Formats: sequence, C-alpha cells, structure tokens
Amino acid sequence: MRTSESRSLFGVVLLAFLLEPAVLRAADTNGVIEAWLAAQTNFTTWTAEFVQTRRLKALNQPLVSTGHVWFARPNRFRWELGVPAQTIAVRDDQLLQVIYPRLKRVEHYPLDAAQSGPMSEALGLLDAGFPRDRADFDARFRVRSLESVDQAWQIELEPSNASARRVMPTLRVVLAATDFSLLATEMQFLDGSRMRSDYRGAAFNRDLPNDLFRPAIPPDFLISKPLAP
Amino acid sequence: MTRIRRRWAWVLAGLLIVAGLARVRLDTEVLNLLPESVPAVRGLRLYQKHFANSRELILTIRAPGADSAETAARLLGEALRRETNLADRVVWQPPWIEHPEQMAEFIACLWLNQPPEGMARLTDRLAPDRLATVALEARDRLATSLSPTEIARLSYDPFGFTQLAGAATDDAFLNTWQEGFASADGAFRVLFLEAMSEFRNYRECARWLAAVQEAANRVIRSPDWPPDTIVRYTGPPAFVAEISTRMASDMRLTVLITLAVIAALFWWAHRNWRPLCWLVAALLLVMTGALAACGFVFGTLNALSLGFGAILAGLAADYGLVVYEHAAARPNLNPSALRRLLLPSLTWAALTTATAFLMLNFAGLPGLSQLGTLVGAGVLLTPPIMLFLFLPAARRGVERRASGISGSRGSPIDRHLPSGAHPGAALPTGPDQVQRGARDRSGPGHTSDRAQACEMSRPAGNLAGWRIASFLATAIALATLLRCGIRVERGNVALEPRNLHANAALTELRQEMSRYGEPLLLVVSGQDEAEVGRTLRNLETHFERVLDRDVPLGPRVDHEKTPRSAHAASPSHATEERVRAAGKADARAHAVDYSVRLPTTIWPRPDWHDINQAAAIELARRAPAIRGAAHQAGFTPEATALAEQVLAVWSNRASSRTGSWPTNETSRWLLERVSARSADGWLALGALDPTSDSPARRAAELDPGMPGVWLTGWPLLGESLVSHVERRMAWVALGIAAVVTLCLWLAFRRWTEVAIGLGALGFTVLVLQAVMSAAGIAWNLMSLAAVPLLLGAAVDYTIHIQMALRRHRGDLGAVRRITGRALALCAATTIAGFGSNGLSGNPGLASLGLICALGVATACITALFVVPAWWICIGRDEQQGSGDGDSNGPNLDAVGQAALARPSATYGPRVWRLGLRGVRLLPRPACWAIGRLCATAYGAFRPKRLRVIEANLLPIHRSDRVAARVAARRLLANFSSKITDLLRHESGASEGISLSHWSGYEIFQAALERRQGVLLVTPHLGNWEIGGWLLAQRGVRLLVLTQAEPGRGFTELRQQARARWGVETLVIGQDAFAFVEVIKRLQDGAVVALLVDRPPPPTAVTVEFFGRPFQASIAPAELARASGCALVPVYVVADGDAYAAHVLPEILYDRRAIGDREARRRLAEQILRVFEPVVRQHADQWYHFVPLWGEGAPKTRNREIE
Repeated sequence: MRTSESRSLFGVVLLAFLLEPAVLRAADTNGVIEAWLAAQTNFTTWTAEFVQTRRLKALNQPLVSTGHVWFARPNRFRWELGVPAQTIAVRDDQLLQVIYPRLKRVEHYPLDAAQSGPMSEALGLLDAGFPRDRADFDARFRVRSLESVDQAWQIELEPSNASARRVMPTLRVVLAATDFSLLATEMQFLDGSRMRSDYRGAAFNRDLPNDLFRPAIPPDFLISKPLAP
Repeated sequence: MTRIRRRWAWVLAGLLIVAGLARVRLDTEVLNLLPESVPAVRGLRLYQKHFANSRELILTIRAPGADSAETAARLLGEALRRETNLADRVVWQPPWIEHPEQMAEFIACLWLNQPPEGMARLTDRLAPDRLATVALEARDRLATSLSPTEIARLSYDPFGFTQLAGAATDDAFLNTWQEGFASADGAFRVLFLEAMSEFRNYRECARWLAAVQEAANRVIRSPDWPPDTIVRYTGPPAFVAEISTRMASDMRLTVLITLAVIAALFWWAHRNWRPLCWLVAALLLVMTGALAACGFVFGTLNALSLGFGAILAGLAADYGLVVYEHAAARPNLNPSALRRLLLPSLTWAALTTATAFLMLNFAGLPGLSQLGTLVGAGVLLTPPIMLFLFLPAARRGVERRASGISGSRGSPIDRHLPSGAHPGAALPTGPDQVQRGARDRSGPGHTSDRAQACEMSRPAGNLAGWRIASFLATAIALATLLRCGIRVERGNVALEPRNLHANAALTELRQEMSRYGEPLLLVVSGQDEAEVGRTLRNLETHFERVLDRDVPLGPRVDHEKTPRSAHAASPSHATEERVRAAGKADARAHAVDYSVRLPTTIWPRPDWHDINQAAAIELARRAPAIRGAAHQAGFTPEATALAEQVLAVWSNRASSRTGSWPTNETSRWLLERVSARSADGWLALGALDPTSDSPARRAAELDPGMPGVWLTGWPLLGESLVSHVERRMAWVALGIAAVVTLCLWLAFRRWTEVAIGLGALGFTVLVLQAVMSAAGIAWNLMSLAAVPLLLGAAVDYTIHIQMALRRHRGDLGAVRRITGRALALCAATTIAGFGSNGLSGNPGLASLGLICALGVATACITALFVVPAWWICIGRDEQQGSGDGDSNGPNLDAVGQAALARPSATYGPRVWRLGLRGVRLLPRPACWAIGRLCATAYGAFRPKRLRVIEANLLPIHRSDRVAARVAARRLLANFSSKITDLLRHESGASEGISLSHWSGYEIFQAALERRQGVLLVTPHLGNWEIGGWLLAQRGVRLLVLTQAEPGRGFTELRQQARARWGVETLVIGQDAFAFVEVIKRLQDGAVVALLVDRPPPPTAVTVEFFGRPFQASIAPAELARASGCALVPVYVVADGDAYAAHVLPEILYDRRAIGDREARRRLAEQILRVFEPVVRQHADQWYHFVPLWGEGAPKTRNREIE
C-alpha cells in the first residue's frame, strides 16, 4: 500500500472512529430508552433497598441514609428513609402522604394539587425511576447524554418543566446494561448539591399488600393538609 | 392714528398668541379627562401617581417555549444593562434571584415587624443552650426530607430565619423564580427597564423609546436570539410616546380635513379664491387664538380637547359664510355699516353656541370641560375676527367679482340668477320682474336662466308630503327604538386609545399574567405607617368575611399576577393552594369569586418593631455562638451566611437608628410595588383578583367603604363614570332645553313657532337615536356630551329657517334658495368639523364626533324640509308680518297700539326710588355700565318697543332702516346713561356730571334782561332736566311745566328733587287755570321751561316735522300771545362724559299776528322746526318711546285750550 493510500485509509478509519460514538450514541440513546421502558413492562411490582447519599454544599460531610422502596404499577410507591423509618412517603391513586413517625405527624397532599404545586418537585424525585411510558417520559424529561459506564447505562436527564429545572437541573438514571433494571438515581440541585440513591437487592413482581400503600395512621398522629383551603 | 392703533393691537394679539402657544403641553394621561369626584378615578390617580413608575418601560417577550423565552429575556436584559445611557435599571427576573444576599435585610426587617410572640419563638429557638440541638435537627431533616424545596431551604437556613409567621419570604426567597416575570407556561416573559430620569416632554420620551427599540433590535438580529420570538413594548413611556404622537397627528389631520372641506364648499358656492384664502386665515387665527387661550388658562391640552380645532373650524366657518353672504347681498354698505348690522346677530349666535359648549363644564368630565371651554372661547373670538379681518377681504372680493377684475367664474348659485341679483338680495317675485331681469342680459345662453328664474318663485316640494313623511319617519323611528333599544356602553371603550401598540401589548400582558382577568386595586392611605397598617388589618378582616373564608388571609404571590403587583408578600403553600382550590370550587354554595392580596405582613408595625428590636439586638450578639453551633453540626460557612447577614442587619440598625423599611435595591424594588410615600402620609397597594372567568359579584359591590380606602381599577371605571355622567348630563340637557326654549321665545315671541322649534329638535333627536340604534352605535361616557351640543347647535337652524319663512312670508322657494342654501353650507362645514374627529385615535372623541355629525345632518334636513312644512301649515296663519319686513312701523292691533302709546311700565315711582338708592352706592361709571346692560336687556325683551323707536327715527334717517335700527339701539344705551345721570342729580350725587361747554348763553341773558318773561322751549332731547340745575347754578330760578307723572307720589317725588336745586315745578293737567298762573308768572319776568314735542292732547297741533305730520305743542305760541314773552330754544345734550348746553337764537314773532289759531299753529311749527337740524344731529338722544308718526301715534284730541 502506498503512503498516500495509507494516510487516506487512516483518515477514514479515524473519522469513522470519531463519528461512530456520536452516531452510535444517538441510536443507542433512543434504543436504551426504549429498552428501559420496555423493561418496565416486565414487572408489576418492584422493591429494593437503597443507600441514599446526600452531598450537600451546605454540609461538610455527606449524609448517608438507608431505606427501602416499594413500587407498584402504575404509580404507587412507598419510600421509607432511615432505619427505623424517619420519613415515609406513600402514594396511592389519590393521595400522597408524608409520614414523620418520630414527629407523629402526617401530611396529606391530594395528587392533582401536588402535581401542579410545589410538591411536584418532590414527586419528581420520588418516581423519577419509574416512567409509565414513552409519552410520559418525554413529557417529563429531556435526555442530555447517555454513557456506558461499568456495564451500566448512565442517562443524564433534565426536567422539561422550567420551574422543576430550577430546583433540580439534572437527574441521572443508572441502568444495568443487561436487563435495564434500575441501579441508581441521582439528583443534582441548583447549588451543585447531589442526592444519590443506590439500589440493591431489587425484587420483581412480589405481591405487595394494599395496606403498604395505605398505611393506617395511629390515632395520636397529627394529620395536616397543607394544600387544603 | 386709528390705523396705527389697529396695527399695535394686531401686534399685541400676535404676541399674546405666541406666548399662549408656547405654554401648551400635550397631556396624554387618560385619567386627567375624568372627574376627581368619582372614587374609582381618585383611587386610580393615586395608583398612577405613586405606584406606576412613569420611567418604567415594560418589554414583553413571546417565544415558542419557556426556554426560548428565558434565553431571550436574559439576552435582552444583559444587553440593555450595558446601555448605561438609556437604562438606570433593568430587571428581567426576580431581583432576589440575582442578589439573594439582599434578601437578608428584607428578612431582618420582616422579623422586626412580626408579632412579638414570633420573635420570642425565634429567640427561644436560638437560645444558647438550644443552638446545637436546632442545628442537629436541621441536619437530621436534611438527611431525611423528601422535599427538594425543604432541602434547599434547610441547607442555607438551618436556624429558620426564613420561617416567619406569615411565611412572607418562603416563596419569594426560594420558590417564585419566575412568578410576576413569566406566564404559567413560561413562554411569555416580562422585562422592566427604567429610564435614567424623568422625561421633560413627549418628544424626549419618544426619542428615548426609539433608542431602546434600536438597542433591542440589535439583540434580536444577533445569531443567539431564539427564532420566532417577538418583543413588544408597553408601560407609561410607551403610552406617552405613542399617544402624544398620535394626538399631534390626529389634531393636524382633523383640522386639515375640516379646512379642506370648508375651502371646497366655499369654492363650490362662491368661486372666489381671495375671500377663500382670508376665510382660511381667519379660521386658523380663531383656532390659534383659542389654543393660545388654552395655554394661558389650562397649560395642557388633553386627548379629548385635541378635537376642538376641527369642531371650532366647522362652527366658525358658519360665521364667515354669513359675513360673506351679507357682504355680497348689500354692496351699498361699507364695512363699518355691515359690522354694525351683523354684530348683534353674530354676537347672539356666538353667545348661544358658546353657552351650549360652555355648559359642558357641568358634564362632570374635565376632558369634556376643556373641550367645551376651548370651543366656546373660540366661538366667542369668531365674531370680531370675522368682522374685522375677514369682512374687509370679503367686501373686496365681492367688489372685484362684481367689476369683473378677479375673473372668477360665477358660482353655481350666481349662474342661476338674473344679473345684478345675488342670493342675499331681493329677488324678483313676479313674472314681469323676471322678464325685465332677463332682458337686461343678452345672449341665447340666458334663456334657460329666465326659465329657471321663473321657477324660483314657486314654493318647492310637496308640503303635505313632507308632513306625512315626518309622521312616517316618527313612527319608523319609534318602532326602531322599540325593537333595537338604546345602547349605552358602560365599559372603558371610550377611554382606551384605539390601535395603540402599547395598549395591545398591555392587553396581552394582562391576559398572560392574570388568568381570570385584570385585578381590582385597593389603594390604602393614611397619615402614617401605623394608620395604614391598621387599615390593612381591618381590610383583611373585612374581606375574610366578605369573601367567605374562614382562615386568616396572608399575603400571597399569585402565579398569574401582573408584574406591577408583584408583592413581596407570599403565602405558605397551603394558602396558595387554597386559592386555587377555591377558584375551582364553583359548586360551592358561596363561591369565592375573588381573592385578596394585601401587604399586611410586610407592612411595618412600629409598636412591634420597638419591642422586637431589643430581642433582635440580643440575637445579634449571639452570632458567634450561632456560627459555632452550625459548624459543630457540620454546616459550611455558606449555610450560615444568611443568618449572619440577618444578625448583622439587626446589629447595624441598633446603632444607626434607621427606620422600619429595608433600603437595599432588591428590597426597594419589592416594596415600591406595595408602598409609597405621599405628601400627606403613606400609601399601600393591595389587589382583588378574580378567581373565575365570571365572578359572581360585580366589582363595585366589593367596595369596603372604609375611609382612606379606594377600590379602583380600569374595570370599575367605565361603569362608575357612565353613571356619573348620565346623572349630570340629564341636568345639563334639561338646562340646555330651558335655554333653548328661552332663545326660541326671545326670537319668535309666538308659542306656535316655539312649539315648531321644539318639535323639530325632538324630531331630530328621535331620528338620530333611531339611526344609532339601527346601526348599533352605542352611547358612551364621552358621546353623551353630544346631547347638549346638538341641542345648542340645532336650535340655530330652526331659528334661521322660521325667521326666513317670516321674512319671505312663506315663500319656500326663496327661503330654500337663500337661507336654505346658506344653512346647508353651514351644516356641511359643521359636519366636516365634527365628522373629521371620527378619525381620531381616541374612541371617545371619535364617537362624539360621529354622533354630532349625524345629529347636525339630521337637524339640517329637519330644518330644511320638515319645519317649513309645518310652519306653513300652522305657523303662517298666525304670522302678522312682524319681522323686519317692509312696513314703516310695527304692525299693531288696537290693543298693541294702546299698549305702546303708554309709557313703559318700568317708568314709575318704585323703580325710580330704587334707582335713587342704587346710584348713591356705586360710582358713575359703574352706574352707566349697569344702565347699559339694562338697556340691552330691555331691547332684547321688548323688541316691539325697540321697533317703535326705530320707526320714530326712520324719517330722520331718510327711511334707512339699517341706520334707524342702529340708532335705536344707541338711543336706548344713551337713555340709560341719561337716566343714570338724572337719578344721580336728583339723589344729590351729582359729582362727575359736568358741563363741557355752553353756547349762546348771551342770547338767554339778553332775553332775560328785557324782563318780559322768557319761555325756554326744548324737545325731548338729551338731558333737558339738567338745564334747570345749570340755570340754578347761575342764579336763575326756573319754573318747569310738566305733566303728571304716572303712579302715586311720583309727581311729588320729582317736584321735591327739582326743588332741591331751586327749580319749581308746575303740573299742567286738564286744569285750564294752570296756564293762567303761567301767564302771570311770565308777565312778572319769570323763566319758564316747556317741552314742545309729544304734547298732551289738549295742547297738540299737527305740524310738519322732517317732512311728516307731527303732533307739536301749541302751548308756547299760546303763552307768547298771552304774555308777550321771549321764545328761546335751548337744548342740553351729552358730549362724551359731560354735557353741552346750547341756546339757539330767539324766535321772534309779532304778537299781533298770532291772534288766530292758525297763526299760532304756524308759530308752533316754526318753533319745532328750529330743532330739526339739532334732532337730526343728535337723533340717538331724541327720547321718544311711543309712536310719533303714522297709525301708532297718539291721536290728537278735538278739545283744545283757548
């Protein structure tokens, strides 16, 4: 092979190498999203333990908590943060409850009000890893980037809603490359603080009792409805 | 000298006009058109003055999406900030986002104004032994909270400084990133740009706006600018620039259109360009003069008054046309005579029209008041300008055309007339005169003229048909009204300028930022902060009850609020959602249709401030401990920055003793939206936001009715103003109707014609309303002023037409051809003047102009076609030809003759005594002025008496009616001065009455020295009574022969007054012995005075005087024969402010030759005729108020004294 031909070939290969990831990323992003969403349809319930690390700019040291999360299609969840639980967030079809067992206080947020008000960011934080379908996903997020890191897909998202972006400009979802199961979610706040939840011991399609999502409130707990007139 | 004086007068007038024009400023503020007495207006004015920043331009950005809008706002904001010559401040996002550190002072001040319990809780929370616990609790919450908002707050406020009782800072500090600056979807954003300084005038404002737009366009053209993103401009500077520019061009346009129409009409009618040019110049002078008067009186010209020019031109043109018509119709009269002829009619016409416009001052709208005053002032200026400036030019133009110098073609009017004739001149009324007129011209082309001339005499149109048509029109109009009704627009349409870009941008802004419409404003005033604070709390309590809420309201930030009302006050999340939920709960029994926003939480509480300050100072001292506790708990220094700044503010305030208000820029920006300082105290701003598309209650029902609180806003304005104007306009219209009725009565003196006039006005109004109803034209608060204007303008037409019908004795053809054509021209110019305002950008003025134009057109058609039909049917039968027709005197029936043969009822003892008292109180010039006013009024209210005077003067003026009429009015005025001086003389206040000169006294002296008696004879000329006083001053005792005065005690009263000056009175009645006494006294050498004209019947004989039979007194001749006395003619006439006495040569006679009656009659005639030249010279001082000549003269009695 003559030198000039070698150089040309090298250039083509180099160009292909450089181009390939971009082309591949575009195709992979959509493919990964689709695969992830498709994987969502394979289960009706999902539970896992998590370790939540909060690296706040206002604190010198990160805050680490453990907890458990239960999720049932289409949109019910239960987050327990801390052992014993210090904060429990439960959502069923109609209501989002935030329970503070230590303070013996419960806050009720009707879902329609919560979704349009200040609690919308909280909801976004709680169910970011469980988009219902592509339409729901596209309505809530825009994909910034997709990376393959340690046999996992790391999708960087930004909320579509401008006010949500103000609070939480970036959301990262980490999926297992093999089965697109949720490995971690990380929220980044406006000041650069981050909150990451790493999930382990995930289980699918377990039977979850209904009262998991409709907990009985002890009579001595104070129930407030912050959004009520 | 007169010419020099006139030139200086014009120079002075020019200087005054220039000075006045230099003071005129355009006032673009719509609120200045509205009455201060309406609470909504007052409140809105307070809002505009104290809360609406006149330097703040609002830029709106509409983009396809929220990101684009935000990018565009950021690019624009940053670019405009770099334009330091244009912008003092540019805000495109909440200031606390850019300068969060400045919120510390705000929060610190809020704490000081909290209830002391709240500060106590904070103090307790930050107690030294609790600091560590609080910090650890905050850290624990950070670890377990699931709310990103709470996480963000606790990160930078672990000790809860932002947790005030009313949560005023919750959203303001953390949550409301874009509220007040962006719509709900974020695709519409707002940017505020404040100019460096106040604008001196609208031009400077327009230049600044153009510079800002240019700077913005540079950004828009840059590659970074998001596509499909539109920027618009609104706010006070945009409105000022656009409205004032529009006003100036509107004014020019309407005036130019009106002048063009007037010029075209004048050219079509008269084809004479020189008078046309002078007419236009005169109109411009009238408008300029009125505008200069505006500059002196008002200083500013508002949006409604800019239409005055066109209206005034349309009205003033009528006077010019009248002047021209008369100049052409009376070529024999010089300008001075024409002025005398036209001045009364033009003056009265100007007064009635000006009165109608000046009545707009009672309409309740300052904008209309100024318009009415301007037009009224201009109309009053019109007669002198037309008579002194335009009239000479019109005369010259007519003369030129008559002599063929101008070469102007005949007008359409002239081509259809016989030669030498003119519309204003007497026209041939019979076929012979028509033939003669036609033979005077040669050429075949005139045959058609002859035929047309024959046509002129026949009454035009089918009168019965017109009467039927008027009935039909009335029926149709009523049916239309029943079907379509009368629409009154109660909104703000009349106030909102049309097609304004700034207005469109503002409307879009309101729609985007306020979900359910524009909020109502609550303006609260008080002498100090404490009073305002109390009122705010009372309002809160009031609206809690009224709006059916059972929890206390807190301040809130509404996601849909306008940027201007971006209070810093914001609710808790709970309160916010309550509002939303309330707005949607329409099914509730008591729907909450409004939500209230009040700055109660942030308003200073001086009482709490003083209490809390001590705790705040204590807390400030704990700053190191607080910092330490936070550090111990693991917080970084950034986490305690806010706390430390708040504590620093408290510490600084303690040492500097500053007031309750924060002072940094962010705080000021927030507080300017809700608070202001006025000359009288403080103001606060709240709002009532509708929470649905159709609030259950009308806005006006929400007025709390508290002192110092105004519920205001543009939605309220229309309704309250229409009600305000409706009430007043009803009274104004009634007033105008009364004035109109009075004018009609004064003009016609017959109820039939008054009724026809009123009927014509009613018909005009009915047809106009029917046309409006059919066309869907609604009345609004501005166009309601058309009612009095139309009444005032339309009454002129009915008066002109009915007067013309009288003059021409029902010859409708002549009436239409002369007066009708002139009326049509006048109406056309007036319609042009009003109608051109229909093009104005101000909808109120446009609707006023349109309706007035329609009304004038309707009135003109009614006057030309309907009025004659009814007048000829019912008005002509009663006509007695009492107008200024061809009779030599007033055509009176027996009753009228008898009434006029008696002296006026005002000549009596009561009036005399009143006069005697009055002249003692006032100086002579004031007495003269009042006297002349009374004389003018007498002439107006007693026209028949005036016509008697004219008839008496006619022979003296050789049958010149015009001169006689002028002299008659002057006579009345002179008589008032004479009576005034006589009253002063008789009351003893004779100062000021002086003798300018006395001629011929030696004649009297010579006669006196003969000691055979002197009989002084004088006519009713000048002030003959003064003669007795003059003689008394020279030591001559006088005996005056008079008749008995009317009324009880009057004769004695006059006798006593004369006796005061040494003048003896002898009353001659039917008693023959009185003459014996007189003869005896003459024979003793006395001086006796006697009036020789208008004798009592026993002593009256017929002599020739001024070539006519006249009743003179034979008494002087009788006395001469009986006593042989000297007959000396004397008279005393006014000479300026003084009097001149004249003694004429003695009348010599042969005593023997006057033995028979006929000889004595001749002597009486000789005596009287001596005064002919004197009476001719001083005809306007020859005071006779009963008919002297012809049928009306008192008849001579057969019985005579021998």
